[in-house]
Amino acid sequence: MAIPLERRSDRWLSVALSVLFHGALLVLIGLGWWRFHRPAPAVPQLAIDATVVDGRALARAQAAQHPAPQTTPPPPAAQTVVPPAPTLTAPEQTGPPAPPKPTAEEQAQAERIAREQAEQKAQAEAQRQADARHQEQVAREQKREAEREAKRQQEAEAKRVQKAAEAKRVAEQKAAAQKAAEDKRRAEAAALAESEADLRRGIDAEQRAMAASGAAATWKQQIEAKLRQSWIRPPTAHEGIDCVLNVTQAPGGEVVKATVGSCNGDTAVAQSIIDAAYRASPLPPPPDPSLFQRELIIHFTPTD
Amino acid sequence: MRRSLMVALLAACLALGACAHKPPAPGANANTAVPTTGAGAESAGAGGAGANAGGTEGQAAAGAEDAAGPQEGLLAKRIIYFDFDNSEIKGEGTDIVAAHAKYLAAHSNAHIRLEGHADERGSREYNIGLGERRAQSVRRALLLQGASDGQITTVSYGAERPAVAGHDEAAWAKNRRVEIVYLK
Amino acid sequence: MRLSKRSFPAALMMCAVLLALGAPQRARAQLELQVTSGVTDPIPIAIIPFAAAPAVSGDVAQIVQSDLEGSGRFKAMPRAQMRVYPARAADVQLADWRASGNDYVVVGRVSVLAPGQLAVDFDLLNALNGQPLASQRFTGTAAALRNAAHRVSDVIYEKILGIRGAFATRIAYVSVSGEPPMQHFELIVADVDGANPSVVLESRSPVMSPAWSPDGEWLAYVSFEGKRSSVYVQQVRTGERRLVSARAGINGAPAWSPDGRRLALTLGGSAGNPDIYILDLATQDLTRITNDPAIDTEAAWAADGRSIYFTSDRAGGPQIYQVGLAPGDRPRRITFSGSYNARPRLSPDGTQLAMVTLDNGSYRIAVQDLSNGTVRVLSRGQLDESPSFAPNGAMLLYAAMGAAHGQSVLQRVSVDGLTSERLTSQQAGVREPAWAPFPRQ
Repeated sequence: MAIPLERRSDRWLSVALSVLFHGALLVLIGLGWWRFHRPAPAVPQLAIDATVVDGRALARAQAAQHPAPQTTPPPPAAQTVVPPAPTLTAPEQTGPPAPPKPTAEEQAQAERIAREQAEQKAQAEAQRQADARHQEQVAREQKREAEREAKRQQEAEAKRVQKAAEAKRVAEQKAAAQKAAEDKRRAEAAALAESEADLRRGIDAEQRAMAASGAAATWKQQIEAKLRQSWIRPPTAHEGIDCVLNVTQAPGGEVVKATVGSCNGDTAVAQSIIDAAYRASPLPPPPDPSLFQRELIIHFTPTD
Repeated sequence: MRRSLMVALLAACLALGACAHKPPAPGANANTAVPTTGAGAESAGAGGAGANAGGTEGQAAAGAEDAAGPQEGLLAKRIIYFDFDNSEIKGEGTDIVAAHAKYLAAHSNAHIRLEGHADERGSREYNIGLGERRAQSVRRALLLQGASDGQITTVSYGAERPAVAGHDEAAWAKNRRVEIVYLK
Repeated sequence: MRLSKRSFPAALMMCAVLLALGAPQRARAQLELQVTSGVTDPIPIAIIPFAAAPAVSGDVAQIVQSDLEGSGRFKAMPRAQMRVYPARAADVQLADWRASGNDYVVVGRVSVLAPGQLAVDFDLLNALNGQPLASQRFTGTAAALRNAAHRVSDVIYEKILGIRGAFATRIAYVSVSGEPPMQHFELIVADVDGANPSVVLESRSPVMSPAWSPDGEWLAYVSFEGKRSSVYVQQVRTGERRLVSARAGINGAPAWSPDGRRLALTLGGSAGNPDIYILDLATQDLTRITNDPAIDTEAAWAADGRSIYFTSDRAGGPQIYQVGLAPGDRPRRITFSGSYNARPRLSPDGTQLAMVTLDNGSYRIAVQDLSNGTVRVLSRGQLDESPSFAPNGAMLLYAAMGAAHGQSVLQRVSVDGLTSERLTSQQAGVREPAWAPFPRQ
């Protein structure tokens, strides 16, 4: 009968294989995820290869490295300039001695004033010196501080650079590893998909993959294609039929003998596959003449 | 109130009708040999004798039946039409049925045959069933309105006897019908 | 396919799967190939005109050619292209015929054995490999020459396609002439190619539902003579006719049991409720099979005679049900696709169910595979009806009522849907074909 039937056993087989493949795929994806996901660096900015630098610290560091021309603005708390108090400004006694002889009070007052002035002067002088010393000290301290700061900056900078470099390396490594994993995943998925497709195509695909050389595979495909065109399927050649035809060909491709081997079809099926071989004669030659073979074994397994 | 009364009446009539008719007796009318007429034409290889069935009888009888029965007013209308896949009497059909029921109730000697039909769509024997359903629908309505069971016979022609040829709704609508035929 | 060490589990999986496929791979000296599909092109065949004695009238080769081409599976070489007309296998230069594109060659001759007795001899040759496939003789009267030719077609068909040919069978059908309401009906039996029609019944009242008995001798049918439906059986050869059922109400849809001893019938009674009954033809015992208010009709027997398929609208619209014949068996529904499925017919091997189905607004012929429920719509008309299986199960005959030119015609379609052919059209409208079983030899 011409009506092709889908057998329950085939359906179950396909379901089982499908489950198998999808399970394997899921297992592999899980495997890859688990392996390469574990070290979890929280560095979203790996792509940006830079470090954050504080502008003021940079300036200080520079100043520390080049101490000189510019005097740093005196830190406000350091000193207070005490301007000489505008006290009695004693008129400078210069010039000719005054003709009037001063009185004793006046003289005492004048001495007192002179003494005060002198004291003040001395004080101011001392003050000035103290200030100067203080200033010097402060300057020295500042210098030291700046040096220390610069050093710290340098170290921090160095460290940061190092860290950045390190992070970069790690990131690159990770990216490379991820890519490798991704590639591998894709390759595996593709491989699985291909084998699934192969399964669907049947043993044909399996043989292709196992073929000794690409040229031999091509030749087989050519012959199979011509046979497909030449096989007029009788109604009784339904899915499930499995018949073997042994074909002998002469070097030109001419079919000289075709005999049916094992076959679960009726005589019409057997007849039809013999006819197919003769209709396809002469068979296409191999791309490489050294690959020629006289004996062919052809499996007829129609699908619907 | 009236409706339930009618339903009860209908049920009673059906019950009575069922009681009045025994199931078809096995063996009745079966195995009666009808003599064949003529030897038929000889044909190469196939042979076979022809038989004539119901020759001119059908035509003559039809003519006589057409003339029979009352012709006044609504009683002249003998065809009730139906919707697709439906055996419900509607519209003018109700009035026609009422008129004929009244007539039958008043004339106990009058006998009719209800001929049920279906349009051509679908399978033939199933259409016989549809035509019968329509004929029975009219029959029940007549019984309900005064006719008695012995006055009515039914036959279904299914799609075998269309009134109008054609493969469209206009033709089909004219073929979905029950015809009332008064018998002599 | 690159497989690194890490994808070992995947590789293992694939290896396991590939091994599971079977074919172990060893080094071979031969090349191993696989072919998973073919074509269904018509097979080219040369049917050479048969040599015939002068007294013989009839062209056997032409009949064989029409048979084989009508099946859709063969393509015959036109006679005009033939250069020589060999009549014996020994005279055939197969290489030439093969070079002309033929896969097979048929030669033959018709000779007179005795007055009124002819012999038809033929040879079937395989031009591809030179092998003779068949060599046979059929004898018969001159009147039976067409039949002999059909039997030649049967042999060729079966040798090449593996299926028994049905070219020598007959069909019955109803022919209707005239316009409604006055129409004229004939029940006709003819060869399957339409030749040799003979009228077995003619009537002014409708005739319907012809059904062949399993031995091919009797036809059951429904006749409306007498203004009521009745079921008759009639012996085709002699014309002998017997009334089977003329009960009150519907008498219809006769169907012979596979053993030919019982008839399934649709009886409606005066209450007008069609149900399925079985009548034993010998004892006249009547057994009721369905009992419900729905329309139950169109019984068709399963091949083992133990159940009946029928149409019922108990679910609202017509669907096909199956009921066993043991007491207490309840009908179970068979068709589930679509709102209208009616008129079941079983294929001879019991695996396929043909029916009339409503398909997108058109009534068409469909076939349901009973093992898995798949349905295939085979016809394309708007009002297709009355499907009937060929006795080899390979083809269906049906009536296309919605033909554009108005007259209904008979159509033949292969069960795989590949070929379709209109039968020789007559003047009258033809309907309700019934394909007779293989003749009992």
